[in-house]
Amino acid sequence: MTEELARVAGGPGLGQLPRRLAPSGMAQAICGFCSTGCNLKLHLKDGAAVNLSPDPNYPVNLGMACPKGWESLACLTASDRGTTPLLRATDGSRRPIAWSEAADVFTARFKDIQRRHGPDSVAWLGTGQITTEELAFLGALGKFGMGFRHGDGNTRQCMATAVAAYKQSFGFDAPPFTYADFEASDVIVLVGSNLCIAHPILWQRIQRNPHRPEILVVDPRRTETAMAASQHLAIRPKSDLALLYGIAHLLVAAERVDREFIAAHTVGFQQFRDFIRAFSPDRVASETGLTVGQIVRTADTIGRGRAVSFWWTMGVNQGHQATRTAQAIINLALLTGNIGRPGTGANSITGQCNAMGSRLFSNTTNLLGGRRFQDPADRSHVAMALGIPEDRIPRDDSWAYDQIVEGIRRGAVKGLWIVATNAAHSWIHQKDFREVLARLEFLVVQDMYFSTETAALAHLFLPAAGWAEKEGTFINSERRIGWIQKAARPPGDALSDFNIFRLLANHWGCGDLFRQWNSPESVFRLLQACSAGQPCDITGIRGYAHLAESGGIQWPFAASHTRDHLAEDTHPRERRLFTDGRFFTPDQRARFLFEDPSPSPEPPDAEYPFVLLTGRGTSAQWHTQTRTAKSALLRQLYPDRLYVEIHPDDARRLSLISGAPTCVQSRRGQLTATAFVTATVPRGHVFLPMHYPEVNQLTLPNFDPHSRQPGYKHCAVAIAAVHPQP
Amino acid sequence: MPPAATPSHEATTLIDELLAQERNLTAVDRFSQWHGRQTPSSDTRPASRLYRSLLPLHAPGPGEQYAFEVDLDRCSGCKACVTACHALNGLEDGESWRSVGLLVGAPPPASPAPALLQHVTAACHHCLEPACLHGCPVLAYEKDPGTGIVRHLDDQCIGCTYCIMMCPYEVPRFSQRLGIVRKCDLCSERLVAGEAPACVQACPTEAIRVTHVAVRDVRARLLPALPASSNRSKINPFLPSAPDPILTLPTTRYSSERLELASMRSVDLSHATPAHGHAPLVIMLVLSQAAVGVFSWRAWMPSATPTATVWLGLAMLVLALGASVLHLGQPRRAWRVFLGLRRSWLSREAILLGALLPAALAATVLSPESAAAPLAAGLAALLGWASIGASTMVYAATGRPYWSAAWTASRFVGCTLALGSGLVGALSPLPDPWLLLSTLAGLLGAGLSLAPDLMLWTHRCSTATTALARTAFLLSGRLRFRWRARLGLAAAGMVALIASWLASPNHSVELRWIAVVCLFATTLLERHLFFTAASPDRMPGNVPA
Repeated sequence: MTEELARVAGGPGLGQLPRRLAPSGMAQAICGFCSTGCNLKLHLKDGAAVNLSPDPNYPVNLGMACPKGWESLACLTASDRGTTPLLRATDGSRRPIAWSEAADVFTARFKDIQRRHGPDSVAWLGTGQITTEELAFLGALGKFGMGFRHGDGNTRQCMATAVAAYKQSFGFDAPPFTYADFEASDVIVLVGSNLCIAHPILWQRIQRNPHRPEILVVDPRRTETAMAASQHLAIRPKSDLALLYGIAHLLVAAERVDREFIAAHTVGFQQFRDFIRAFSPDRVASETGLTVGQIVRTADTIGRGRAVSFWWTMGVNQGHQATRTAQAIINLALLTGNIGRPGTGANSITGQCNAMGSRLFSNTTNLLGGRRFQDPADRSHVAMALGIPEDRIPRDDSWAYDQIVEGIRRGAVKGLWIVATNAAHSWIHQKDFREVLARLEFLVVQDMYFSTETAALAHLFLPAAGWAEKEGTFINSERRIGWIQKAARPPGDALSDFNIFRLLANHWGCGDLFRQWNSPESVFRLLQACSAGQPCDITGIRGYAHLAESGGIQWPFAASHTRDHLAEDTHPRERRLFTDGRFFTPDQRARFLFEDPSPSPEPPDAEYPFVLLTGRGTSAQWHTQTRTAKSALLRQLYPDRLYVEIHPDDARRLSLISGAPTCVQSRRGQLTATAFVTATVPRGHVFLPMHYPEVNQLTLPNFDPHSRQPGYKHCAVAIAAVHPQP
Repeated sequence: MPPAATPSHEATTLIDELLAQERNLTAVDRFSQWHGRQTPSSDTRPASRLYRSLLPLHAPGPGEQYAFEVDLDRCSGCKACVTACHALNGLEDGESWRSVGLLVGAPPPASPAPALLQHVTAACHHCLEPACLHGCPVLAYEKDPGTGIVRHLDDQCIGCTYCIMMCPYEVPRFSQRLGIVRKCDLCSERLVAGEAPACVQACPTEAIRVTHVAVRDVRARLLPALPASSNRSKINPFLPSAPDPILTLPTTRYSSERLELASMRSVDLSHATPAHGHAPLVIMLVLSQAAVGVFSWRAWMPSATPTATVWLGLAMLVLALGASVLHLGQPRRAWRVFLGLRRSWLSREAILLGALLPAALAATVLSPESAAAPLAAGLAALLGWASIGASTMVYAATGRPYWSAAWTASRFVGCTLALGSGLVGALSPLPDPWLLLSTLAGLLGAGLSLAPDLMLWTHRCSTATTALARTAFLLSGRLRFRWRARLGLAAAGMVALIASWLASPNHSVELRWIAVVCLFATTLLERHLFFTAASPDRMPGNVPA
């Protein structure tokens, strides 16, 4: 029994490992949860992964991983993995079918709907969780091969705002930073980001910062990150826009702006300066609930900073004025010239592992390679690069997620294909969304697990391989393209998403169009060709081996660039954009964009007196928990049932104590959660972690007009104690 | 409906090809990095960090030992340490030797001061006085004299799980598959090789390190300056809400510059869930104590205790011993239980119960007329009462207030008197004064057994912050039906006893049987609640939900 735990040298750089798990080979894979993009070394026995450890030589994670990363393999072995396609019979039961029948049904039903209801009638909802090659395949197959007009992804729920903000301000969806900026700043401003919990490995980079940085955290809640801040600005929810304008006001008033940078590299400063005059400290104090002193101190800290970096995540992206809020952050960076230098930037930290891949290559919002469907030159370039007829490429943008949902509601969309996302759990105003899904004639869900809330509603379920059961690339928050190797066999007859697309292309009758799409790496080459000449040009990458040798490669990495400037072995492993102050707009200048703050769409009132905040619970939970709930270890790291955080003063008034069952009700639904009485939430507010399936029954469907991203972070609810029936 | 564009024959071929591709793992060979392909290197240490800054440069000197040190200001609550311990040590599904809990600090009502929260990572504290080691009946623990590391010797373990009860920090973990417990050994083999323990390697913010501590300093930090009898400070010098460190002298040091730790408390301080019921132990304790009651009557009043009654006592004892062996994860190693005689109450209890069996057998089979019979019965009674003393100490030694020596003795002695006397009274047609005596003894026993329940009543409060208050909270909350049944059956048993005395001799026997059944039932429930309602102080846990 002692032998069970005996440790032996695991191999160079691995340290000791249990003898039972001593590897006989190694592979690597970028983690498949969040966008940090940690590299994990997969320990192989007989070619299959038996264990993993974070890669110490990868420039992102430096040998570290969060609990989700450590437990990645545990999520693959679960009894509810899909092992065969399932077809729903008229009596509602699901029966296993062969792939040939599944492909027949898929093709026949979708073609039938298209024939009867026209090209708008079929759509797909994709994901930021599959490889770039796969989501490009889905996008190309859907739009060029199958004639689907509308496709969007779950990235709409997390990153659409950053995309819209960057496109408008910088001329391209271009997060400018590299993680090394965390270590080079002397002032770090985190807006709507609980980095400690949402991106723990990025928090590591802040901890490594040798400049004893001031850390400013803007968050209504007292989070782990707020605890570690030198200034916690606990503003009223959704008053961030006013705060950011107020800071700009003070910076301009104190002449703490970079006149030279503004003059040389921006457009719209005069109008912006006039606009922010109205945001006096007094006004901002009354709107945010902060003191004038706090606001002045914050502006002063930012103004004095030598290298100030601004970072934001979902607290900004999921709001009714999200794009303008992100741009208010961008404006601060432009105003103070904090961009393009080490330790600076207006930086969106992405959510999902391949949201960034989706943003450039999913062929939904953008044509492949961050191009425009409306632009004939872009269409012609892509047609050439892929070797397809140009007329296969649509000339218009397709509907966003919420517009597809509305399309289903009014009967325009009759068939829907959902790939690797659990929409019936995660989409806002869940009850309504499920009712809308029920109107579909045909719903196909392609997922690792047949048990997800969404898969359970499908007419046809297609079993997909998971992370590390297939090969491909992800792009992380800092634009780094990383490689995932296949090191596990999918269960039963599950196929990789890539191979499902190959099969369906063939069955649909458009196999010829995708003749070159026969392996992930060959698709990677096609995508490189699509990117040529774009800000995200990656034509200089010489295949997967190059990614592996280089510790991932950040875009841009153009062939011309590498030829001209960067010798093979000298290209820096961490690069940022805009070092020359030239942006991707036609005039190469960044834009100041702004708009008056407007009230939240559902302010609390007498009937629903509390504001409901939602967000990430723990670092051991991922989104709708389809994967993280599969690990017995991760399950011990978070509460097994939904809890609601409520302030002690409110709890006292409502006779609630920690542990008491509590009813949370909005105009759209109600749920029961266990009370967690804690002063970390402000009075008058409650917080629900988003990972539990009930939460989106309460949320209010409201969308930022520019990004069409849902505003999950704010709606009105009522709270009451549930007295157990005797 | 248009026909499928591709003939199904071809499609099947493609499907087969794709399915075959999925089975194929050779892709990993293409770029596999492995020993042979890398520059040969003798350094197999994990390359991620200069661990030197997180490890002492040399082994501990005299009067020192290794210890974990946790910089709470650096711990962000990511819990990577928990998963790394699991992965790098190859532990069971869901098993880790590290856990992370949460401390919270609420400002006073209506105060503008911000709330506080702090995650706390914990593993084995490699205590100066390891309770696991002191409790182990088979010497399966050792504290390394050079390093101070408390190691568990897996091959010695019989899986009695007593160390889990003894350790206030819930450190040892039971493996169902192996039938033994295992625990953190501070990755001692890694330390020897100059590598950091798994949790230290995996902490992204370098919040955990291994240091040397002077034994003298640990004592000075944790032991009260005043004599133990005086009013001990309410501030826990180890960690707020944690078990009293005086029990084991844990060596882990938690430090924070940004927090007034004393103002914080664990997030689940008022929360209690029923603990493991230990059914075999319930059976073992109740039946063995009932048997001791019977043998005591046999020794004291042979004439009031006919052979049939004694045979029943023997049968109960055999069942009790059987249950005690069956509850072990490794029953075949049970014979080793005598090894810990010098320090483990569990070992003593097992030896005394083991010795009781032959004495009880002799007391049963010897004819009451034989000269050796009183001797055998007396010996059985003596060993029996000694074993009850040892049983009491088994639980009292854990330091749990609900299992205090006084309360536990009250329960165990009460059980012995009530069940022994009840059985004797019901099985034998006792004449007065024996009938009165057995009734009184039964009532006394039932009363003693009930006393802790009644005392617990005074610990009830709306927000439980002490171990006994949490137990009261459980008994009047989630365990209320069982507790009410326990109290009701005890009352019924006592009433039946009194009634049987009053009704004697007409309906006496029926009522006595009713009393015995009630007393057995209430005692089984009492013992079940003894285990399930115990909610000792523990390290901070998760948000309760």
